[in-house]
Amino acid sequence: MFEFRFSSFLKALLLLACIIGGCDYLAKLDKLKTEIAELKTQADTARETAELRRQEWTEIKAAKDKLDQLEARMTEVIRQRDFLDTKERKLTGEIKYMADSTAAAVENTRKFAIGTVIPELRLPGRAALYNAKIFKINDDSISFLHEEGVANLQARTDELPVEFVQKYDLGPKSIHGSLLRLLDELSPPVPSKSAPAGKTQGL
Amino acid sequence: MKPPLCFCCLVLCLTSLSCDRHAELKRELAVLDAAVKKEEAATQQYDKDIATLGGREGLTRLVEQAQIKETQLRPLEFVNGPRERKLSAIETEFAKLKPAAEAFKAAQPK
Repeated sequence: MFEFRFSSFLKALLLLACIIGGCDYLAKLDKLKTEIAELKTQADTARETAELRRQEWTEIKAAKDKLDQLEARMTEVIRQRDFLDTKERKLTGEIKYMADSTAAAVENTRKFAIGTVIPELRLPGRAALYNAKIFKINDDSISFLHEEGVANLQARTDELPVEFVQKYDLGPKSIHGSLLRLLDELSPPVPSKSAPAGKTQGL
Repeated sequence: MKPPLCFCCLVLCLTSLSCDRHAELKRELAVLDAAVKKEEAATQQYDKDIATLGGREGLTRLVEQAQIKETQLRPLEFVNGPRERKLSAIETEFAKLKPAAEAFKAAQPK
């Protein structure tokens, strides 16, 4: 039967193999540990870089979003302005037409009234005029020639009866005067045309 | 137990332990490697997104553009509101005057 002899040489050889194997293992372990340490540093750097980029991107994105919002607001404001321009032009045209046609009607009515004789003209708060003949009508008053002389009655101070004021469109509340006031209130063509020209083209 | 057998057992134990330790370190290495790759991919993605938004120099340009837009927008917004109210008021008054003017025109002597 074979009996294994553990000679001194074999013992030394085994011990040497163990030492070499152990050293190799420790060397590999050290290498791995070094790699891990390097990779840890690399990971930290990569994380920091990513974080920096993220901050940078967030900043740029916020600025871009703000600009987009402003552009949307600008588009809306310009649309509103254009709508108001159109509305103003339409209103101006309508009022102007109405003022012109009313002016012609007022002039015609007043012209037609010249020479009209009123046998008895009762006036609020003063004596009546007899055989009062209308000889002049302007925006605020009517001049009469009557039996006792000449009377210039003002609409503004309520000297004229209301029906005269309405019939000849007199005084501060006259239709034609009110239309002219509305025309004055309407501004001339908007100066805002000088504002961003680039955007209006896109609308 | 005979000495050679005892020695073999010892060697086997040590080998097993060393293998475990080695595998553990390899796993750690793989995890770290994956983390690095993930962060690098994220960085690349951010770089791409930044480039899409106009690059790093784009920030100054965007801020300047936003300021310009704000400056243009303020007077326009300031003007539109009151102007709309004024036009509405005029429109309402004209709507009241229009029938009276039409009636006056209709009543004029021919």
